[in-house]
Amino acid sequence: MSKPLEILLLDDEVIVGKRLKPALGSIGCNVEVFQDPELAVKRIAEKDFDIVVTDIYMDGMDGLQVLELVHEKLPRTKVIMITGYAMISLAREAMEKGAFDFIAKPFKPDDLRAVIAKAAKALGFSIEFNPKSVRG
Amino acid sequence: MPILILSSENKDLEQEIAEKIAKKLSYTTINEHFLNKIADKHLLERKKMWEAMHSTPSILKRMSPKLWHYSLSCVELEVLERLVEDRCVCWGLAAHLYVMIVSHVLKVRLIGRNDSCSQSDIVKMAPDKMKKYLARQERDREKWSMKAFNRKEAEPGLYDMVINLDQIQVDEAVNTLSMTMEYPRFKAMTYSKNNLMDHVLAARVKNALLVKSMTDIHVHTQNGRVVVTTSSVKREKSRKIETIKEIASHVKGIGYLEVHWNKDIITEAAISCR
Repeated sequence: MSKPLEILLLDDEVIVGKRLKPALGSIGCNVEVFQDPELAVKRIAEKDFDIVVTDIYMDGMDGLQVLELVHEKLPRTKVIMITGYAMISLAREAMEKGAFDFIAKPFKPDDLRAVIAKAAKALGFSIEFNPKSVRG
Repeated sequence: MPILILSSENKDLEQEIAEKIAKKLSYTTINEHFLNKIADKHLLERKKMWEAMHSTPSILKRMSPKLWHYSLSCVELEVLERLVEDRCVCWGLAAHLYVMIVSHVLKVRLIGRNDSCSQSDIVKMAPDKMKKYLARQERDREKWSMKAFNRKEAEPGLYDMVINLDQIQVDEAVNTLSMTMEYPRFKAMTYSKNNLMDHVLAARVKNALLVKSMTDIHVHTQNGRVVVTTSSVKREKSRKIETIKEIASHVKGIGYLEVHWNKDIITEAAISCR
């Protein structure tokens, strides 16, 4: 497939979007950034995204609700959860609800790029990504 | 697929269940026999290694606290390095005590069926004597796990699941566990893999410091950032911090390192009273 990967990035911290949009753009993804979950959900209703990257704790709606809404609309969309309040119970709940992956903040852009590349592969896309700093 | 860690006082049934699950899922296994390999690799006596895993340090057993802590640190390190390789059933190594917050590790306690222990000394015992023997064994294990990891090994809250083998047959337990391991909540994810890597890194640093006879150290790692907390008398502060930094700098995978120092008030007071 040659069309770019469509990604929606939702995080109420402006800096996260500012930092990650170019990081994902550099591997050929189209990224739309949202800080308000309500607006993000409206956009998800309008457009079919391949991947949704969402924070968990936000005002108004949490990332787990976003995850459920995304899967109701498009079960094939991969949802990646990011949070600064990672706990074993929350991580397990997110995975049980169908999250593709769960990442604790802070993380390096390469960590997210590696997960995006994995999700892209699962969706049948191919992304060129040479990790420099991914742990493992 | 998640890693499975079993813990039980009934070693025979624990082994039977572990091996059946490993076979069913094509997993590798790791158990007490691994202790000999660990001892050989770290140039420790095999007998001492087994002793360290089963009893607390004492002068009578000629096991110093330093050797005991170092032996346990070798076990922790080697088991964690093995768990990172994934697809593994682990038992008999108290590994659940050092991977508490790794979400893709399913931690299971097997209880009951004490009457089926094949240990020859138990089989020959009268029921009331056996009860006393098992209670003592449980107390010893509790003492060991408290001293080693500050946790009670048999505490149900440490496990994801407790299976009573008086009520559940071995094959039923095997089926239940293999099914549970397929739940998405136990799937490995970036967060849990990084958590496990943090444990590995902390174990490497701790082991490297203990082998150089460093004492009073606590190592914590988060997102690859290592924090070593130590204490000493004030006049040794700089030397101790520098030594820790020097030793840790050679550890595989080390990046950011911080050393926190606390004053050893008791030794300071003892020196000033002289």
